[in-house]
Amino acid sequence: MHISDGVLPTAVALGCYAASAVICTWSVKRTRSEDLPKVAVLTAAFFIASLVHLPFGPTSVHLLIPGLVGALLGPSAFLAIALGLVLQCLLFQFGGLTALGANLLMMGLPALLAGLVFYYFKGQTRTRRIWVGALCGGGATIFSATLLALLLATGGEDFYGVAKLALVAHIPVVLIESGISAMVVSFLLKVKPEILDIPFVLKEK
Amino acid sequence: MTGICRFFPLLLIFFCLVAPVLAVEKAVEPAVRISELETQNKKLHQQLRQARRQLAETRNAEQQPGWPQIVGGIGIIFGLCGVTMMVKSRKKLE
Repeated sequence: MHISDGVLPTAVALGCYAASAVICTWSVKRTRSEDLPKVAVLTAAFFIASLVHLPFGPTSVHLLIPGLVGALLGPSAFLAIALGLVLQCLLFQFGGLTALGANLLMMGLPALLAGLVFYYFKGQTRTRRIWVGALCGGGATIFSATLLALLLATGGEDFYGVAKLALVAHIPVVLIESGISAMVVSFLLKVKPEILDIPFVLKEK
Repeated sequence: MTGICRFFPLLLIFFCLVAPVLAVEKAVEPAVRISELETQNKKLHQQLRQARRQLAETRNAEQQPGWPQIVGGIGIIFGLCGVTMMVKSRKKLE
């Protein structure tokens, strides 16, 4: 799920760049220096996850894991995804440089939303945290497919047609990502539960 | 490397075309000549298709990310993280 060069109108592409630059600055400011190793590990995981291809009919789709990154990093998720996407774009030729802003919004906003949802709804019990983790993983993918359709609609495509296509193509990804997120959350609850308690502060202290 | 890969099929096509061009001089019966040319044409088409397939294959192989890209990307990520941590720790010390 990447937007290629030349699909979006120039105004939309520039607007996406500006919006993602603003959010990225905010994200950098919210990142605490003691969290940096965690950010690096999840950036690397996000960077690599796109190479895990799942065969689906005539085409293949790949893992995205914005939900997992968002749930584990909170506000820093946008920074992690920005770095991962830039490297994917330069090294793997995924998406184009001009569409990087749009791709960033498409992956970063669901990640931030997943972080917010995970922070407010994770509760205290183990089972609830695992369920909320799975919901974040699946929900973020659905949200980014919808954003993809919305962005392509600005380029003159039919919104409902693209949305339907993107959602249908990502059904297996949604299921697998829910499973992976649940597994990672349950594993982290066992070995290092404090890693899941990231403060999602919206205002500076 | 890629230059040679793309150049080779072109060279092949060129050599295939040289022979029929030089052979035109001889005067032969038209019908025989036509059938000869047709078979030649068929052969050339086959070779051309082969060359095209090879070209497409090499192009595909070039676009697939390999281990160097993956390991390099991870290295960049951790390297940037390390640099940021170094800068932050220096600020703290000062």
